[in-house]
Amino acid sequence: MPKSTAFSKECVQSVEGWILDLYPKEDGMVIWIKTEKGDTTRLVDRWRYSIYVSGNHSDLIDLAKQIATDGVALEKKYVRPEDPRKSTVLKIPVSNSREAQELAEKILVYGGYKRFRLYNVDVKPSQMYLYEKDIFPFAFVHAAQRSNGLEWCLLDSQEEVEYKMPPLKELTLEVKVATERIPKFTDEIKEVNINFGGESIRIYSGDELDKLMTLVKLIRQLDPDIIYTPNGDEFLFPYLARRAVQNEFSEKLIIGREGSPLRVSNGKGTSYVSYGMVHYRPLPTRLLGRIHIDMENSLLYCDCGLQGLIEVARICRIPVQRVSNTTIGTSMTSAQLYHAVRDDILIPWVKADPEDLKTARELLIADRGGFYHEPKVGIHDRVCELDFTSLYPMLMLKKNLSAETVRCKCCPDSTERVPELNYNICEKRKGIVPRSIELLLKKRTKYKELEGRVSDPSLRSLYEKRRAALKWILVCAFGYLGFKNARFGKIDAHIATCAFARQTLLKAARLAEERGFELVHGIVDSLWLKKRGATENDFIELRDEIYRETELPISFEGVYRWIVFLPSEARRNLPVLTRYYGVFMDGRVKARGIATRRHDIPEVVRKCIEEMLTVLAKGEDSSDFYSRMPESIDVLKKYVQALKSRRIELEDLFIERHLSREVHEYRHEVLQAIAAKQLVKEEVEVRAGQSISFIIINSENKFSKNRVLAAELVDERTPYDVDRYLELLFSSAATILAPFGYTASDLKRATNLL
Amino acid sequence: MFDSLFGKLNLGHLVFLHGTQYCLALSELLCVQAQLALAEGGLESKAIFIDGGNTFDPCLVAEYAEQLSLDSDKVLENIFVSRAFTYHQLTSLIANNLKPWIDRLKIKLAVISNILEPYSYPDVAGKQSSIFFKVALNSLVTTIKEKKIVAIVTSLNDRYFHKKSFFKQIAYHSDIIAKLEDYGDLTTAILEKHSVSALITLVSSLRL
Repeated sequence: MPKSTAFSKECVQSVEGWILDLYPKEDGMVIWIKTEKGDTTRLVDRWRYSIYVSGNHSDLIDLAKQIATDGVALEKKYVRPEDPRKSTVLKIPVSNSREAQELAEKILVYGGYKRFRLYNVDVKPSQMYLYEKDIFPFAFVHAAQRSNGLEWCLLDSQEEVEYKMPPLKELTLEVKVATERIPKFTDEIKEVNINFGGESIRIYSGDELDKLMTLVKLIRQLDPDIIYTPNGDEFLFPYLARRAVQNEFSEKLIIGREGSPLRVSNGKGTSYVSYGMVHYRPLPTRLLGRIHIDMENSLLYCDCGLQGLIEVARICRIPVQRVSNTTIGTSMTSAQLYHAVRDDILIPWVKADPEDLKTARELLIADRGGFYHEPKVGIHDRVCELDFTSLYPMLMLKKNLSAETVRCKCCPDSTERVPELNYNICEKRKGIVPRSIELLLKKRTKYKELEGRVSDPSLRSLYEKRRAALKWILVCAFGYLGFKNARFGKIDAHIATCAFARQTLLKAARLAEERGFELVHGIVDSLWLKKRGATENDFIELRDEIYRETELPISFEGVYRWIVFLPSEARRNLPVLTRYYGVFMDGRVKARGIATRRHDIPEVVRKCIEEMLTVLAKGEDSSDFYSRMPESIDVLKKYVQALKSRRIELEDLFIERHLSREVHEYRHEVLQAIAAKQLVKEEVEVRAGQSISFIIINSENKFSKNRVLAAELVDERTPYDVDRYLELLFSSAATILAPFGYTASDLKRATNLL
Repeated sequence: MFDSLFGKLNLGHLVFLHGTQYCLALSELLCVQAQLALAEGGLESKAIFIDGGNTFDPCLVAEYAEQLSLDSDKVLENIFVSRAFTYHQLTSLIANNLKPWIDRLKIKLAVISNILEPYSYPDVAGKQSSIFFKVALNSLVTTIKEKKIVAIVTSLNDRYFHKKSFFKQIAYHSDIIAKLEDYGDLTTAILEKHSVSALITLVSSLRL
């Protein structure tokens, strides 16, 4: 059994390995190193991070006298990224994030909310340490303990795509609760299941205290680097912590490597707004020295696995555990913060710089979003799809679009101008945003190349996951330019990016039209084109020409045998830009905006539509498509019969909806609110932003509480509202068949329901 | 139209409009009317529109201009817009930028649209946003009096009134408060406060 070791404070030692985890403690920054042999070493660096204050010089001197702690000093830093020279600011060392926050608030009050501006307040110390030391998580390093702290030697590179991984020990932890109903913190532990290295261990004997003791003992013995849990943040760890309190074992419930017990947090998760939608994030459980991954609450893990998390951690310089439980935007921001710190630019605590003043006429021209060309509703034969690869990040990089570079003060006469708006772009410096995405774009391209080159499926999957993770970050990079809380974002840079994107798409469309192609549809970064008698090669040649003209990578997605563009449900003569389905020459089906892609549609409907599309996908062209329509309606009939005869599995009937507000704030009895209230009654904590699953049991019932049943309360005796599910089925089927004159009523008739 | 509903607007007045989307339409219309000559009921002035809710619609403004037989391009050139996406930005716009802009552009009308929204997002810290709101409002009141301008402050969504203290603070400083409500195709304007006749609350149901 490998043991964890620690450097003694007196002797000078060194270790080589991967940076597994790091976090601040009273005596400095703690860093866990995983060696090639599989051991873990705990290092401590006597390092403190600092917050900074800007303001009038005499005010800063006055503040320094008031604070009067060790290390307070005046320093020169760039207060804004666009500043031509450094300003004098006050540096105040702090011990931890909480102290930083409290001190910052006191300074604001002391300055009457006007005299001081604060910086570097809410940057996590672990990230700041990585930026300052120029290292990154899962980097292979050599660390040497010196009398004045740790000395780092990086033996790895962020640019590396075939980097070596540490020998990680992974463990999955699950807990069964002794209840038939919804598990509560007051219910006893029934059993604990551990999976380690393919071996399953059940802890079920003895009383609850015995189970907890065995769990702690096993964790210590197995000494995993990563602990996976299903819903560990929201339930499993808070539950274990509360059971430990109940059994007077809370001081001994040690799951992390640090030796400190798992604490019950009284805090609640966070509800936050993103793109107009309320989301919920539970409070993360941090295991010091190990990595906890909540498999249900980590979006990036669900999509890209551990490999994706590690790739993001390495490239964005943010600990893996934080990558797994924070938003993608936070990870992306970390990459920007690194560049700022390396350039001596301070990170504003709050974003207070507003949009530049513009006339209403300017706004009319500027605020127009992406390019679109409305499709003609209906079926089209032999249409090719060309997509610009990472168009927006590419433009941000190539055109140097960042908050501090668009409409910069230093180059008003710059020859680099934003189309339509004529905004100047800085010629003197490369922006923080372009610099932070450069490596991401480069690596994404490299992974794509590698995917095409390797034959080993596991290796291909690894590259695919890393590339997918980078794609998430890149998608976010553009959105963050206009995001209200982005540290280095600005709406003018966002507007400029959109203007360049519109120009690019227009240029490409015109080029295609000049070559005799017809633009069937275009949106944001994609074009759908057709030309009578055109071969695949003709489309590829066109792609190459667009690439030469725009100098932006563009991919050939394929030629559709046929593609159907769908209309609005409310106004049948109007197309919806993002609602279509089609089948490529190789048989791949691509669909957007229909039931197969929506999260609020029950599985039974999704399956039916998918099966209908499979039937239609056999059609070689539009006339073949028409001939297969009766067969697809037969599929619908099959599902109608199954619903009517109640042969559908209950899980296939669950509908998932988002809570856009707190349960008590709902004024109307919408279905998700009814289900949420049922859960609240069962003492389950429900917050705005969470998703609620339920079954419709009787949508017309005059008592709203009887209309649906929350998924957690469903059992085999639960009935379901056949008519309501049939309505959902017909409406989804009518959506895909709408261009051919079908309505939900027509389909009811066709399936003998009318 | 505003004059006929709520009485004449005087320089140095703070007007608070709350309720439906019509507050937005009305404030945009006032930005157009402000450009008319004094004899035509205008202020012979350009306007500033500080947008706290990202709701400013230049197309609608152009339509209003055309309805008043004005050159829409010119009208749009004379309205200056800045959007605030956080309460810090809105505070900064009101407390730091507004006064120099008024001087530079010789503005007599400033609209602060959706003023409560950035301070009321579910993810902002209550105590801090309250303090910054106070800073912004006090600064606005001082600017109005000092620069002798008319300021229209709007809140388009009454659900933000759970921040009652914000509402009370605006109400305290406002010379005119009007609530606009929609009933089908009928919009009702309720005059809730008027500085001249402070205790008179007129309820005027008008087809606007």
